[in-house]
Amino acid sequence: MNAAAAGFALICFDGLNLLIDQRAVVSLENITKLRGVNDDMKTSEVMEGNACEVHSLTANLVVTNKVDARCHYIIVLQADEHRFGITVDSVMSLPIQDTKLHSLPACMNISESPIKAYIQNEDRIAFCCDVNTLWWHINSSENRHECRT
Amino acid sequence: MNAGHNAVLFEFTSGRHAAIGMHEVAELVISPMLVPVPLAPDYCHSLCVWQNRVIPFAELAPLIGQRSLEKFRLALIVTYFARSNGEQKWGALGLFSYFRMVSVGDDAACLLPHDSSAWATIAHSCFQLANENVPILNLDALFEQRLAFVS
Repeated sequence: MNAAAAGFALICFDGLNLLIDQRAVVSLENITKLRGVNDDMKTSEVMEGNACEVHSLTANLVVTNKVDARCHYIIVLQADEHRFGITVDSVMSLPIQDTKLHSLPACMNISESPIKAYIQNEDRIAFCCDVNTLWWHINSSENRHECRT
Repeated sequence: MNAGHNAVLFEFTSGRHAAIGMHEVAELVISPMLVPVPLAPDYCHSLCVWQNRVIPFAELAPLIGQRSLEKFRLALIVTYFARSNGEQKWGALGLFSYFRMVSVGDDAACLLPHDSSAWATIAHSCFQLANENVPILNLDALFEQRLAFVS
């Protein structure tokens, strides 16, 4: 995976540890920058000054009804031609040139999933997440509790 | 351990059993350390950290359209050789109660259960025990491919 050369951002939310290619990270914002668009669009709020949708995800990558106010930060990501944010509890840079990426076992490998690999650090597991596939996953209606109108 | 025992029998949902070869059992782990994998299939939803290895954790009930009994208390660590390259691999099967060892002979062979088409893929063969047809699992087929019967 080419991302190993640039390193990863390790983001955490809802107990899930995700590794994101650092080249896909646009910025890290404080959650206080969020402003709601309207009451009917709670899944897709917009950040001031850098308009993009912001989502909260569960540990199973399901989009939640409301942005999780317990999260402190928003990480803004760039997928192909789309910019979006997700709320996170924490973010740290992870230079992992020496860390081995493992493919998921064949029985868990789903072609549409943004999760294809993981790293292990003793008992801690972090999953590598492809940002382009994550964007498509978030925007497919079946993965949203509440569809936009 | 009885020298005549050659299979391990375990209950995967209420009143239903499956078996594996005794030589395929590595260890029984109480309260296994499981890490859920986002978007993984229902039958294979977590990774199990065992002896510094990360191995897939599978449960049979969702694979054949049955409900799981309750939260897993045990993981049966199993080992097999991958058919593709002969490499030794490990996996974990979720158990709700302790397994038992049985002796299985060729005279007990029978047809696979008809309740799920999955058995034809994930079982080597089947034997009759009391009134139940008990599939013998093919661990390579269970862990080395993505199955999509029910989940």
